[in-house]
Amino acid sequence: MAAAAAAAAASVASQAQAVLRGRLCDQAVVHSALRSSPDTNYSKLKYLVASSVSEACNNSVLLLGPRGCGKAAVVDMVLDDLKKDHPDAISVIRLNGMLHSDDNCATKEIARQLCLEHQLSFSKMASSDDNTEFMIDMLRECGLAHKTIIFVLEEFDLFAQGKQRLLYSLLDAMQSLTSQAVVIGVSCRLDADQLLEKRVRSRFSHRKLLFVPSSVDSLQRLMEHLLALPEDSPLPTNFRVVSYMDIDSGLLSMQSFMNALSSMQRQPKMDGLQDLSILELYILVCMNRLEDKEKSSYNFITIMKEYKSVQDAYKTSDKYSHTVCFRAFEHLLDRELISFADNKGRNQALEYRPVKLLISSRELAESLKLNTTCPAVLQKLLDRERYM
Amino acid sequence: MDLSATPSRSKSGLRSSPRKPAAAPAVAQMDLSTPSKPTPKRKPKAPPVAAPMSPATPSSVRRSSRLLETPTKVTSEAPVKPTPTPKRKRAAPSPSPKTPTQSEPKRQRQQPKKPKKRAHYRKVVYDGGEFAAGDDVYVKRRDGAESDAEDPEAEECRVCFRAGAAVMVECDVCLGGFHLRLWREPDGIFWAKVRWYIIPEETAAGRQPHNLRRELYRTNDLADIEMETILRHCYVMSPKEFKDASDQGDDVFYCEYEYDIHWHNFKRLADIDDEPETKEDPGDEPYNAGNDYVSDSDEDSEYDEEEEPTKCGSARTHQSHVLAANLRKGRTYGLQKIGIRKIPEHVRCHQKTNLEKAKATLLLATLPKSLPCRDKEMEEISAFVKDAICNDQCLGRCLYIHGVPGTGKTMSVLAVMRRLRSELDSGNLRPYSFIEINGLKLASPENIYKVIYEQLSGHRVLYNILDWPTRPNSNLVVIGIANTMDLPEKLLPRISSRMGIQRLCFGPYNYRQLQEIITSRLKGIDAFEDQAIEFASRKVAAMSGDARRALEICRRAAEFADYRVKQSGHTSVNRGKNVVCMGDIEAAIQEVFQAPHIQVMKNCPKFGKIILVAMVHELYRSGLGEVMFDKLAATVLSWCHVNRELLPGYDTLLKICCKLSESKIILCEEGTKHKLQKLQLNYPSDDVTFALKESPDIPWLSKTLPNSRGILMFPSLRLEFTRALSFGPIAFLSPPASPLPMANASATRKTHRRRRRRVTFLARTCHRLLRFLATRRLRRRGHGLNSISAGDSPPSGQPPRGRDAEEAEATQSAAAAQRRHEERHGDDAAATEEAAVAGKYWAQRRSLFSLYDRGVRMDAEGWYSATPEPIAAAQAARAPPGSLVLDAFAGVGGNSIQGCYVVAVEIDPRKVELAAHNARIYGVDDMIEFVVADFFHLAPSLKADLVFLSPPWGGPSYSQAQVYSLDMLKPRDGFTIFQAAQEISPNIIMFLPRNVDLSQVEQLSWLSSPPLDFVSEENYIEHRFKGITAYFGGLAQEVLKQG
Repeated sequence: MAAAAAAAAASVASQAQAVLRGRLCDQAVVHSALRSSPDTNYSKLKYLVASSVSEACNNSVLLLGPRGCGKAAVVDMVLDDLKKDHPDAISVIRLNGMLHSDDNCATKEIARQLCLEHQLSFSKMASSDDNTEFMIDMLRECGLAHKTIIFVLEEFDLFAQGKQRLLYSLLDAMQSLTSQAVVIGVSCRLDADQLLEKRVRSRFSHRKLLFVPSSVDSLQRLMEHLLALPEDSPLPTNFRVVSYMDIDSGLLSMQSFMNALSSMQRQPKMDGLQDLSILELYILVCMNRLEDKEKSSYNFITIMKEYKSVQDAYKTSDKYSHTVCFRAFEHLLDRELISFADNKGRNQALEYRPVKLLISSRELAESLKLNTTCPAVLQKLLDRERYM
Repeated sequence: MDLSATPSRSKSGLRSSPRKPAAAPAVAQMDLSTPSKPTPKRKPKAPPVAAPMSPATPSSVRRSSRLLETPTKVTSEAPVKPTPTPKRKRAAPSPSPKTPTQSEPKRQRQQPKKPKKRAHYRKVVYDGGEFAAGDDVYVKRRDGAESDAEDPEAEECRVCFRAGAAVMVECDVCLGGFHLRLWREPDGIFWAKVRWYIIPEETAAGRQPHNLRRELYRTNDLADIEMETILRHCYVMSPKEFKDASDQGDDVFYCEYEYDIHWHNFKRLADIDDEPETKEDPGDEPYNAGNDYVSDSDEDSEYDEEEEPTKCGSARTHQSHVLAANLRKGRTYGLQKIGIRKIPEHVRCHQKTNLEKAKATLLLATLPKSLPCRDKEMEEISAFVKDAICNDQCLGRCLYIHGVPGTGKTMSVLAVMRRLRSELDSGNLRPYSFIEINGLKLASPENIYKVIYEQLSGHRVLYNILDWPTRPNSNLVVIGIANTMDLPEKLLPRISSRMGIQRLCFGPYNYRQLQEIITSRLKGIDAFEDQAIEFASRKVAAMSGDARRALEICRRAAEFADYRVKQSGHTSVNRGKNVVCMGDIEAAIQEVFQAPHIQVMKNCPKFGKIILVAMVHELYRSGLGEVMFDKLAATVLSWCHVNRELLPGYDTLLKICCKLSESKIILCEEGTKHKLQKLQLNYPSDDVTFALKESPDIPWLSKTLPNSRGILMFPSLRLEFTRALSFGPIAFLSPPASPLPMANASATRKTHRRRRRRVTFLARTCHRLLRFLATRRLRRRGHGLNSISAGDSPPSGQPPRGRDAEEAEATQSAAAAQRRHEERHGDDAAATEEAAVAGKYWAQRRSLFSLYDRGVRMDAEGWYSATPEPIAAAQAARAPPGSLVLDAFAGVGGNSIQGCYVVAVEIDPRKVELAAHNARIYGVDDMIEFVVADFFHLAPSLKADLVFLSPPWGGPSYSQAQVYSLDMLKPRDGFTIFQAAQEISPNIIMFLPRNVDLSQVEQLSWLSSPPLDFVSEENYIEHRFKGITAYFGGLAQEVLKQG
């Protein structure tokens, strides 16, 4: 009986897990709270774009804010809504600064997408002049047909490099009555509009929407909205999440959140330090000592000297030959716990190139403490020179 | 627009049409009589069908047509050819009779069966009516039931419920139409190439609710018909014409859209001037048909050799598969497809509110009805162009126009060219052609020759173009437009010498002009408060004078207002509130001009905030802009430890740093460098301080921030500083090696670099100030200016002097020594110069310094630049008692001496020495702190209650200018100086020459937000007008109170 009940609970729980997973991945659900309030960026942007669609005017707007604040999500939602409201009257051109920051390839991409949207045949061979002209013609034709072209430029700051010919021709084409276009720039650089050339800036209508990271309160509301299942559903109506969900109980415990958090906030350097060999730890400690002695520049040879002196002073059993030490040294380099001080002297032998420690002494001390196999003398070495 | 026909009316309109034409048949009848008059001159195939008169035939339809000058297509396709019927016709003046449209003739395909001579006419007089290309006419349809059946238009006639009856001739709603081209076959029959018009019912979408009763669509359906079928003229009008035309009877139709019969979609008709214009072949000789043929053809007819078809229906669809739309060749084919299935309702049936109207007129794209404020410049341009055109041996010319963006350069030129065009049309001008080339839209300079059909290469482009006008017999005028003022100087000498000397400058608009521009656009729309417009224009005028920006701000404000109105529900009760008020403008300006970083900083995650504050801390501590991640992390961790926060790991901190640097709040190197990563604030540390002063989630954070004065880190030290002020003057020598912030920053990365430098410098200054305070006591003997310090008890609790403080002092002492050394050499020259100037101003010595005889010392510049003592005293009296005054350009101390607590900044150490000397004579040397520094460098780190600005006026020659503009101030223009000063304090006194442009000075007060109060005062000495004192901010109110 008990087993059957447990199995049933588990199946319900996994069902719940599936529902929640679906919710978390669905942008529309995540941001559905935005639709109601008039003060959100969503409704502002929607008003802006919708009014320029219905009033047949040109507009340009810049969405600024750090990453992960929902800029692209809001744009997507607004565009989806508008496509529903005005089917057939909107065509969206999406460009990304990472891919199309070059003017020629941006115009080509615009022409390609325009052709795709309007079922025209596209030629790869067209020169960028042709493409620009095509774009301007299309702007005009679409304007005459009451169709709005919406340009979404992601990573807007990357378009603002060089002569900014693309932005100029785009914004300049929008200065005519026949065209009907909206340019939406999305950037995480707060000073993106300052990057524009003055003649481009003059044509850019300085609409800016600022996205700020949401506060603790709103995050909490969002989480409740996402994770709480409705009362009337057959699923358990408690508060829960996903990956670390305890399938047995079907609830999301504090522990599962903690696990999730720690798995997300890994400390790569600390983890890297955990599984080093004793010899490698020795090398790191020696380097740390050297840095504390204010040796601005040192290389493998210097480290070996220090290592020797330590070995001589403490007479430990961990004495290794030069080549073994060098192997360990190379391993550290590979793990990027240490690095070369500069890029000069590439053809120099590795032993003689100056190196630097990339981890702080505090991290080193912590990891030594955590490391159970670490000999006591090593910790003493680190501590000693700290007090000296 | 008066297109707002109610949808419901359409049906009734349809029904009513039969009744209404009661008059129409009469017209038809009457018309009929004219053409049916036997025309003696020509009777091609017409006579046979003369009998069936159109009034009787049920299916006969009125059609309108318009002459089209697309080259004719294969004539065999003409559907109407076989059975032409009696006709009537009438002609109306075409909108642009002289510019036939010719769409891209394809020359490669020769028409095989072309008759030898096929004469084309522009105008034909036929049956007493005169028909020109581009006219709209009615066309008689073939009659006979069988032809109707196959004719779509005729079928559609049923829609108007009149199909079978014999009553109706003219059914208003079913009209076909043409555009036509006239020609005559060798056999002498006149033919016309026409383009049909079509009524809404005939379209695939059917009649749409918003269609007007008399609305037509122009199609791309072409046909060849015989002239005989033409009935008479009708008038198809664009919306604008339709609105203007009051009542022209039944023959008036309305056409706004074009209908593609292949794709079944609609498109707005482009404006007339947007239509591609034909260039007439110069080789075209007028064909004098009147002599050779019958008199029907008018004398101004012309012919050209037959060109092959461009658009023939079948060929087109066929080719669109082959040609890509974005290729030059394919463009005309693909774009046909663009169009909308149904005309969206919101376009037509939407009553615009005032705000929406305002938004529409404020659009940059909207061509304003008038172009205010550029009359003078436009006059000049048009004079230039006319001169060049009319002059018989058109001496090729160049005009160079420059001005900052948004000052109406291009607009003015285009307006002038439009005006000239209309003059040309009316025949007052010699013909010319106008080519507009935008350099930024060319992919490469060589492409300009694609436009002008020439092939050359390299930098010679500009050379060649500018060279052409100088050639004999050339008829080229070049008008260059650019932003930079000195472009001709930057070019190669050979280019600039050809560019000529004629230049025209478009200055930025001032606020009155901007106001006029905006109000002229908004004429008749009651959507803006007057003050709101003035506020916006003043703001923009003070910043840039860019008309585009002013318009955009107003439009944005209108959007805000509209948004507000729409969101607040549709309660139309508070009608009064539906205007744009000051608040909206303010919000729009905020959005345009204010950087968003403060808000983002406020909303940073917790550790982000701590990192930012730690960076400020490090910056104050080390004085260096850059900080190593290692140090920063140590600070953050120690703070977190002390304040019992959760300790973040190094890697977490690193991640946060990288995130901050993505939004460019800080600049940092790539994350792989880990501990060695260098970080730097991208915004002034004051902004961080301001943003994070109050952070509810981390209460302890504010304690670690610099305090409100922004000068000092720790509260105790700030106390010492104020005390130090009263101890006596100290000299701060600006570090000789300090980088000039403006130094050769490259154009593209300028924002970056300048900012970085500024941060660095600011930090150094502050820090040095600190160190100096700390060490001052220990170096009593001093050197240079330190020697003047008054003895007093040393402030307690000074931090121990560090190693680097000693270094700093050492460098400073070295610098001072060197300076004194230089002084000794420069002294002789200076003395002689001073004597020369002093002779001139000697008589005024006591008005400059009343204690002159006690040994006041001046240098040459001091004689003419020192503020006369009575004025300085009066100005100083305005300051609230006990306030800390910053004298930004102290000079020899004329003003500083009068204040009570003064920090005097002066860049010239020699002057400071003189000033300190003078101050001692007046016995106020312990009240004044002299700082040797560049005011602009120091300004960001200074705070004071009052700023006194008496910048150098640029020598005694200032009085010779008619009006002294603020640009003439030294070392930088008045706006920059003021901008720097208003960051320090909103209370500002400015002493300016008597001939200064007061309106400009007033504009200064708009530089800060909210705008400062402003009062000006004229200063007289012994009844001589000496200068004007301007008071800003709280002081202005003081002054008003004091009277």
